[in-house]
Amino acid sequence: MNNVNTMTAPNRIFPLFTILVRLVLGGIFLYAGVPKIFDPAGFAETISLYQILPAPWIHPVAIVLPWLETLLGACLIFGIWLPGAVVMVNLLLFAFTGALVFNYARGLNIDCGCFTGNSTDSITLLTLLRDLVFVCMSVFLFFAVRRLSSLKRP
Amino acid sequence: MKQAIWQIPAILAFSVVLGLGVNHFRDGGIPLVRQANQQSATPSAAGDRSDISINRAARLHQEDAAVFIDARAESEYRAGHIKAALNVPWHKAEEMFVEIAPDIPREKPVITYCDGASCNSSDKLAEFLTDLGFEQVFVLPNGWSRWQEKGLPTASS
Repeated sequence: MNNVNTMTAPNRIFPLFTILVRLVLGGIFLYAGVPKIFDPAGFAETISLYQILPAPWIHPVAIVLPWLETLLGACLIFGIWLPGAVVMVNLLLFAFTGALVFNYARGLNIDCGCFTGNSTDSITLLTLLRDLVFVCMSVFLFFAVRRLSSLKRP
Repeated sequence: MKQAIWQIPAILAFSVVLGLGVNHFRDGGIPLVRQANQQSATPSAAGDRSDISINRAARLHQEDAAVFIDARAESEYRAGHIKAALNVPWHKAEEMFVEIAPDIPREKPVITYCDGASCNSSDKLAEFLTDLGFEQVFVLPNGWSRWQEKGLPTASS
């Protein structure tokens, strides 16, 4: 008997929805990472204004983080190393959101720097809400990948 | 999900190798260790006074949406300053501010700057303005040098 025919509607939709979330989140990470690769100095300045990282960490993070975002975006889109990529995407998004909330709460009026190294967008409530949506997507993806990988086990 | 245990370090390692490798060979790469003159003159700020990035300051300047105040000495200001900036040398702030205050709309952000990583007169001026009740006061660290590096509008008088 063909398994597909016996699947219920939610079971058919779930993998498709997971793929959709993967593609959207992957696109967001690519969109966030690639422009920063081309402007490490601008991104370093943005990190510096957050006043969270110690000075010696600022340039190494400005050099590596854009590549990490880009690789994670590619992993999500092409379905490569999904378990590791999804865990890292969750960790990064929680860290980014934490940094945004921290600076929003203490009243620092600085650039978000979320999507380009030299953005001119301030951190607003809308920025925080947008990040929370991304966090929800990544948490969903974590549980979805975990569920799908457990289904594949013999 | 057990594969994550080796995939995470592998993704991190790829990112580090790519990041450091590309940064090393490209034009416009940045040093691994920040130079002193790239560091903010204002390591911490809270409340209503903050550092502002050069890009955001440039946008506000272009939109005429902020008042720029040069905290350097009058001679330095005359030699060159951010276009349309006012000059309030920090050591003369109290006496000069009376005549300049009417030129500063209270609703506009105020951006103070001086020159060099060790310069802190813009910080002091920003604190002075904040104490006077200005609500949006920003410091552009190492402002004059970075403004020139970016080729943004300047003037001399």
